[in-house]
Amino acid sequence: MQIICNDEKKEIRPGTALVAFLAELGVKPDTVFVECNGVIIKRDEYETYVLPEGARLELIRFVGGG
Amino acid sequence: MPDRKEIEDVLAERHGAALQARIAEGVVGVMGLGGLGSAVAVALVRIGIGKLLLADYDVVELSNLNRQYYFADQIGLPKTVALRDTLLRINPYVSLEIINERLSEERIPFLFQGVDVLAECFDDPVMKPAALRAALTGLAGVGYVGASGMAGFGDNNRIVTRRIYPRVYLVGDAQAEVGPSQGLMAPRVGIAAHHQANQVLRLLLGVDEESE
Repeated sequence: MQIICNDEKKEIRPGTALVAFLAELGVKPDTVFVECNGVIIKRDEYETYVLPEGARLELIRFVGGG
Repeated sequence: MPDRKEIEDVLAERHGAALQARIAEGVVGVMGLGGLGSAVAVALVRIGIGKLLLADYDVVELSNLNRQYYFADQIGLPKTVALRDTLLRINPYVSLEIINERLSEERIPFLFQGVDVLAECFDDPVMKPAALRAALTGLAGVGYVGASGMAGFGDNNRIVTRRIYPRVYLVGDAQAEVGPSQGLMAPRVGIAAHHQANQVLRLLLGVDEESE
């Protein structure tokens, strides 16, 4: 099935949890802000949140330093 | 020592009275007082900000002096205290509140209730998305200026300010991460900090536009 991540189409297996999708992208879950279909996903939901078909995902990755 | 009115008059003369009145009403939270936060706070006090809430849990270390607005004789002091002392030397009448604790996603909405704009100046990449979530979910309508990616000595002009939501901005190149191969250095961290400070000012003055 397909989702849209930061305006890019991505093919994922049905039932993919957010944390697994982030791992495939090589993104550390603690350093990314996630909005799915306009809703902000809390960090403690990343492991259980299953990406719905056609999801519009916005990811903002942060790097250290300040 | 100039009195309060002398300072206010000079700022009003420099910046324009109507504009200065708005700056003087501004209340800004600064989360993290490292290379970004210390420089943001100094810039805002210089232009006559009304009030700053300054939050950090750390103490000044020698290794901070390559980029942070502290002095050798302040090593060992809490950053909140050291920065307050410096800011009061710029303007003895500015209102400053210090928050000497390690911030968390849960605490941010309580501590910064009522601020006009929040500047996210953390070093820790985990606190950066946490603070953004805290602001968007717990401080609805607050102006927000975060930062990500300003290590090393890369191209000046890759440091940009992006609008990600209404009144919510992120500064940086989004890539240059602090690590063994590149440290944080005053020049480029300073570029990012002053992007942040100027964006805070724009928000205080009611400007909220997509950049061109």
